[in-house]
Amino acid sequence: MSFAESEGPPAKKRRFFTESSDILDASIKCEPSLPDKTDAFPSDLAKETPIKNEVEQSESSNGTHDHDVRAQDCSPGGFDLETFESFIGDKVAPDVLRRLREASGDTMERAVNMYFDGSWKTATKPSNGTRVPPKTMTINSFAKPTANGCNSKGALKSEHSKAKVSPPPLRDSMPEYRYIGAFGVGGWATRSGTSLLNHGDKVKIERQKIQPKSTKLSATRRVDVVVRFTDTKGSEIGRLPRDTANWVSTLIDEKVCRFEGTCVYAPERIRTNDTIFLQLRCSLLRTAFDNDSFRLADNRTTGMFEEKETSEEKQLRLRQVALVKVFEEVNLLPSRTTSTTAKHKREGLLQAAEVAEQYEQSKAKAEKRETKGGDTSEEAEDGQELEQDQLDSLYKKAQSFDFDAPAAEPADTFAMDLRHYQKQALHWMMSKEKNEKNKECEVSMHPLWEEYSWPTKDMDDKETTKIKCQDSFYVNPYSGELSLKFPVQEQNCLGGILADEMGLGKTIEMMSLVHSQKSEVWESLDQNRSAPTSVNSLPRLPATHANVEWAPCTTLVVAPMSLLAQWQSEAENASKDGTLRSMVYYGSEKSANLQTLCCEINAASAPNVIVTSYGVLLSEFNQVAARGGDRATYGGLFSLKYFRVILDEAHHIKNRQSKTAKACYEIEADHRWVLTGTPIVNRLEDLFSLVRFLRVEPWSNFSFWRTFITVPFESKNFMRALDVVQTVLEPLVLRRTKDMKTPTGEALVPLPPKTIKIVNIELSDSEREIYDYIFTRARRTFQATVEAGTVLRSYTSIFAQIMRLRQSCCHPILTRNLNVVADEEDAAEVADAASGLADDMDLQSLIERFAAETDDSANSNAFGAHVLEQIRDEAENECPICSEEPMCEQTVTGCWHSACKKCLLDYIKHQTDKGEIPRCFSCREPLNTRDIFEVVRDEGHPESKIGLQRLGSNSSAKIGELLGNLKALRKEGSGIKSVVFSQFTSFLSLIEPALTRAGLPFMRLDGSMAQKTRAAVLKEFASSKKGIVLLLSLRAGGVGLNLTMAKRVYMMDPWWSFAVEAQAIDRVHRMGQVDEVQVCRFIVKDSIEEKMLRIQDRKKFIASSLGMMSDEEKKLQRIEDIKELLS
Amino acid sequence: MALPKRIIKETERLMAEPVPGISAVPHGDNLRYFDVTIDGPESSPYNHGRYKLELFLPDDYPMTPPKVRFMTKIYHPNIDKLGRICLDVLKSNWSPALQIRTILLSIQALLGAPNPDDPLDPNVAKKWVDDPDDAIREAKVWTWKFGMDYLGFEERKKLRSDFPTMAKGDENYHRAKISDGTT
Repeated sequence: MSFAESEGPPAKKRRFFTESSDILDASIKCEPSLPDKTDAFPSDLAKETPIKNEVEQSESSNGTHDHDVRAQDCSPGGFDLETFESFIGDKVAPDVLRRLREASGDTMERAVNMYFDGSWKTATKPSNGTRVPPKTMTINSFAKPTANGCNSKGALKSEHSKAKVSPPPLRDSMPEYRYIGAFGVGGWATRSGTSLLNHGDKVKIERQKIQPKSTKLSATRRVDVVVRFTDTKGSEIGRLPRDTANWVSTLIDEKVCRFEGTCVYAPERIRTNDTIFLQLRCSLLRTAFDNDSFRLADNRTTGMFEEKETSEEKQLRLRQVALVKVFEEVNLLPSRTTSTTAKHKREGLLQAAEVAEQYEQSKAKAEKRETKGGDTSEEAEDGQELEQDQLDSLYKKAQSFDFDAPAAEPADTFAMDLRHYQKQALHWMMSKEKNEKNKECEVSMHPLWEEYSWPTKDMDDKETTKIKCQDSFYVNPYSGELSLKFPVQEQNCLGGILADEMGLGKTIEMMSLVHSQKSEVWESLDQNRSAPTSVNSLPRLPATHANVEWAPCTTLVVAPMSLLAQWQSEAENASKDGTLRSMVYYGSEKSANLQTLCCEINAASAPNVIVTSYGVLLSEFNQVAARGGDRATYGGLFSLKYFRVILDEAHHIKNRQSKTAKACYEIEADHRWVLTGTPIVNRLEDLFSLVRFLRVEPWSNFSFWRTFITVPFESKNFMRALDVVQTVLEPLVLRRTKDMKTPTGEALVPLPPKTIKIVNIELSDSEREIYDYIFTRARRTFQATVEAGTVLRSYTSIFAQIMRLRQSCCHPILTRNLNVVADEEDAAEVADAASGLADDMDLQSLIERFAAETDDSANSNAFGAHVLEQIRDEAENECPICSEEPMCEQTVTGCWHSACKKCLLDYIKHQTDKGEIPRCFSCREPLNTRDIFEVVRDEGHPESKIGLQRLGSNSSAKIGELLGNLKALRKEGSGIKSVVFSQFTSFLSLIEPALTRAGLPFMRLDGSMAQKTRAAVLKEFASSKKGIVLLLSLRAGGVGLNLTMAKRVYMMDPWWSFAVEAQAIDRVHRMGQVDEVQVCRFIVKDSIEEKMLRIQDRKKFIASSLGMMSDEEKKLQRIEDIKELLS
Repeated sequence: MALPKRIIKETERLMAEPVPGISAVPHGDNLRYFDVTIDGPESSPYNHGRYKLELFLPDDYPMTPPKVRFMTKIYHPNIDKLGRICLDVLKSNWSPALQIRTILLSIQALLGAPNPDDPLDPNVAKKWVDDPDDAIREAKVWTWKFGMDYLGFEERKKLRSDFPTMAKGDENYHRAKISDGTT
């Protein structure tokens, strides 16, 4: 029978159950408790043993100082009097001995030295803190002569005193392996024979000799975990059971542990598959600790190729699980953990690892654990209910801003006034950059690590090897790393996340930092500005440009393209003349060789602030990558190591896999900062990318992050993951919100009031017809899919139809927009085919009618000059209907009677509502509603030019309302500027001609524009004295821009979540705004837009975008919303 | 509801430039409610009569016409005994370009030119067609009886001869009597 291939014992009867004997029973009984060794040695006896030794020693040396000796019995070995006496060759009086021991701190070497030089008489007792652990001489087979005389001497000496009860060995460096504990295991025999193994026999624990190297392992092949045990001669006797072998094999393969076995019981006649009870002594190998640095280095170098790490990651996980297991088996508990890790315990760790592996049993185990440890299951339950709250609580900690935090004054060169909270931010940032290890704080252990004490006794209660200054070792149960050194929680990141809410002045705060914290080079430049510098003190230009050059005076700012100009102007405005050079590195300016420009030798002329965009960074990153990582030759962004780098709107790099993010990671800088209002957009990984950029160890290691945050989070253990995230965030983030109040109740930033008004729009009849048509069809499609149960499949087409509905609220022409048509064409075809109706034709004709009504070019010339003259004369008259004087938007009928536009339309509506044919208010001629013209004149010279514009042409109810508002604003004559937001750029294109016709000056900014154009537009908008209008797409203008020169905001269409709209509004209503801001949200009455408002209120869409739901859940959620929308 | 600019303007103008023979004064507590008097046109049986009317501007004025009613009894084919007026510009021919002033002028004109072809009180209209002289005599009697309260005793006495006396056997005598008692 061969066992070479099989890994488990064949299923068969265990014969020893039938042949039960007392001995067997005993061994079975004691087997599980073997690690405790209580059966072998009664615990009280074990405890007394060292004391007895002491007593004997004391008695032999007069027995008068029992208490002294006892008091010092902190180590089992103590001070060996006999050794001492034999060393000095004389007897010493007990009181002399006592003083000697006190003076020498119980160190044999010192005591001997002191005895001979007599210094013990004057010496004072060393302070406790420096007290060296007592050492005793012993036979130490591992001992190697070391420079430390004590040990070598001691060792030499002790060899003469073999008769002594062997005291524990003492060493001062880690031996090849060191004992941590023992456990019992029932192995199974793979051969039969008589007296193969007896109680107390040593066995070797071995892995299979022919070991396929782990690198060759593919995921599909079963991993070989066979662990054999052999007799001392090396012939195989049996194997360890599978569940033990699983982790034992990993530990052996990974060179973490060494196992030595002792046979506890074996039947005299062993047959194959018999159980042999073994006790395994487990020792940690020194190599396990060596791995530490290797791993870290490994992770750093592979940083750019994260995805390829899977096999390595798996290896790491196996090691981690095995380590946790072995500690569990040998019952070794951490002597110190930090509060974070204490909460989570090992079960959670194993669970996390198992979830990753997706073991079949993991469920059962987890259930078992949940019943055991009630709190984990409770947490999981709690976690599922949290969503928005989770983000909130996450921020809460980071937001607990101390209003008494110290503030720093900005440097003289800074030209702006800072608010108090901004000065506090400056102080915080300066202290972050200074890298001063805070002396007051005690050095704290890294939160991921646990401290373990080396066992002082082995399983047989023998003293174990002692090692100087190594009473403990440290384990990172999350990564499987081991260390002998105390893992300090390092703050090695000289920067952080400035996450102040939008509008609190992050840019200004950053600029104040640029001014106030300069590199030494820049600082000295400032001082020597007047004094001529000697040639020798000038830094030399390095001979080769091969490396990354230090740019000591330069701060690199990476920002979205639309913000480049703003950064530059802020940089200029914030600096006193000539104190700061800024440069936009974009487009044509890219020709500059940054390396030459910014290197140390040119520090005096180097730009202090370089502003560039994520796009530029990415393209240069690609260039560098194409040159195989040669950063230097082309002299671009990556050829420098900056004094400081700032990522603005840093959520741009939230996806760690994105090239932009990777490009950002590669920027070299002394100080690294990210600015963002939303460090976490919707997933916890968003934060990882920032942390990775900041190079916060160890969080910047993704497997760390994964084990510690992602896995618990994905296994619904929200509380744990969020807890950890909080501890990550806390030291890194400064975040204040606008609604924060100082202790005295003042707002952080007093902003002028803002009123948001919802303006209800009535669609014109033709618009309503189109809307109703689309609505009915959308609902029909939806209901059909609901009945057919294919909602999820036709999800996109339904969504396209909803999109059309929303567009038809803005302008019916939009629904004929090519992009949209493409979107829903399929859906329409399907619907038409299903219903057998080509009713798209209906819509087409409806739209054509609308277009005919509006597009028909009403050539005002046809009416003749005299009519126009008459109309112009009438212009100053009062409106016959409302008596307004002059008329408000004079409109003429086909019979040339003038009235205010609103009055005339109201009257026509009034008549048609009553079912009458509309007639002229003046001559009672029947009115053709098409033949109503608005009188348009050029602003500034109403006398000179006048035109007629057919009412409603290319217009919609919304555009009409907007024009009405804007014209009323113009009438006020205060030159108030307005911003008009729409999510449809095509809608903006329809608003443009309407504004042109109305003679309203306007500008436009959307995503399709080049950066230069954008900057020019913003500049012109800011400098214009007129009441100019800025048309902005919600997407391009929603983020970052500063539009405080405007005082009116018009939101043409609602977005799914109000937060997006609010962000757009905050472009205008932000710091720097001095006047009240009025916001109009145009909402079409009785339409999908009203329903969207209701959904906004319920915040459903926000919740679903938080990443707490799966894609499928999100879709279901949306279907609920769609139901409501189409109700 | 704030008073629309139009009503304010109309009221101001009615005060500043009153139409001869017509007055309209808004109530202090409701500026949409006017006390109106119209003098009967000279060439009509209503001459020397001064008729009280009430005029109310509804909320959607001037989209809808004002509501006007005679408070003084008048014998007229287009005005019924409740004072309601049958006049196209108050109904279908209303236009927001019309005003209080123009409406009152139209009513005054109606007194001068009754339109029995579009009657409100069929009896009166029939009389007007069948026996115009008697109808006019009757109208004059009513004017004397109800429309001249504004005059003092002496002034009325001077004008007495212009008006016919109402015969006892007259079919409208009783009606007038009863009405008399009510006024």
